[in-house]
Amino acid sequence: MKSPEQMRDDSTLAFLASHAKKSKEPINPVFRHGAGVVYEIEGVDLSFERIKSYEQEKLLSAAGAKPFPACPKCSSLLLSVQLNCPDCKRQSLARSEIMIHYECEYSGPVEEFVSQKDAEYVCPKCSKTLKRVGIEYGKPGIGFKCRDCGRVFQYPLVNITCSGGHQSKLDELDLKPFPVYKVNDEIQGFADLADYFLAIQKALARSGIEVEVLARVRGQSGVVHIIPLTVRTGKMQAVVDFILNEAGSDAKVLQKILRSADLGQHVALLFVPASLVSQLAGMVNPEKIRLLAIPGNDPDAVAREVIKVVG
Amino acid sequence: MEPDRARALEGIQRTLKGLLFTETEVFYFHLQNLGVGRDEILDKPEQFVRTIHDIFGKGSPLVEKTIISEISKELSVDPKSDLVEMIKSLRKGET
Ligand SMILES: [Zn+2]
Ligand SMILES: [Zn+2]
Ligand SMILES: [Zn+2]
Repeated sequence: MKSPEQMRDDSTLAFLASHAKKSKEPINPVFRHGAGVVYEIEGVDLSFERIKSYEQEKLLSAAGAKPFPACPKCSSLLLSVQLNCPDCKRQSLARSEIMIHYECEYSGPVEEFVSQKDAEYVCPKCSKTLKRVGIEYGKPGIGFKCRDCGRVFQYPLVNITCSGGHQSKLDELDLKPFPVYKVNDEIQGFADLADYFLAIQKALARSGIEVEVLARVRGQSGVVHIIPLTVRTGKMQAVVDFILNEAGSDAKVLQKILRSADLGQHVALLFVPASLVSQLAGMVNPEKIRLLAIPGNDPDAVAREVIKVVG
Repeated sequence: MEPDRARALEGIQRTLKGLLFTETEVFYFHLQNLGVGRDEILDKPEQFVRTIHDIFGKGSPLVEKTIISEISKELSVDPKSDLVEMIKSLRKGET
């Protein structure tokens, strides 16, 4: 196993690596109301942005595409469907089983033919009793009746409205393709990181601490964060996170602060290289993020540090 | 939008992305909560900077400094010490 400082501290990648061990299935785009297109892996939605940056790093590659219907004017995927009367174009339609009286050619929803008195059907237009299906009356199937103009029809006009208020017909919609991804073998480089977290988890569990590895925690933004470890004791509930090396540590600590703000109540124990502790201390709020020096390469030593704080 | 403003906005968004990487969307969510869309940063500089302060606390000077230096490079203008002032000066076309 690599030493921690040789690993890249992206717990989402560790999660992807452990997922790729279990499944080689392609990762499909799905549309979520409010969030747009996301990629769902084991119940976690990863944003298209995040997936794209992994693609740029060649950890994922496109293996096909799935098209989503989009507004032809503004490309919005947030579409709603309206069914309209083909005659008067209004929307007050009722859907039901349609019945037709052959002799007078009246057609309408079955309910209109149900007589009050007995089990027989009565034509609402000519008032004749209808007994024999296929001879006196027919039931051609499901249809629509316009409550405004009375027209009965099988296929309503379909109109689509996007979130920006643009209206289109069904055949005018655009199709916007989103890639379907497969995980490249390079992702296995991050399995080490998952193993490192797992080793810490085991050490904590041996001490009777309730701990989850690569935990999914939803932030206020709705984004599900993949947290290396979450621990819960009678004393507190905390997330354990890592900056494993000095490269880009300023930006990384900002990302951790942002994540911690998004997670609200949780206290974060952030393990960083010993050389960075004093430098980063000036940037974080110690009530929300406690900086701890990574105690060498031993996962057990990390666990002991965690226990000192939460135990 | 005038070309300078478009470039400044792009510069800010690129800087945020460079700092926050895959967490950028989380920042935009909290920004939106204060009523500022990611494309409205130049129109609402006070709220934008307030969001940076609220979220990053003691880390916010780093975010502000990085953005100021990025805009000044992008538009070849002198950096100002204050991000709100810097964005406002773009709005008035003072640059
Ligand atoms: Zn539209
Ligand atoms: Zn009608
Ligand atoms: Zn009839």
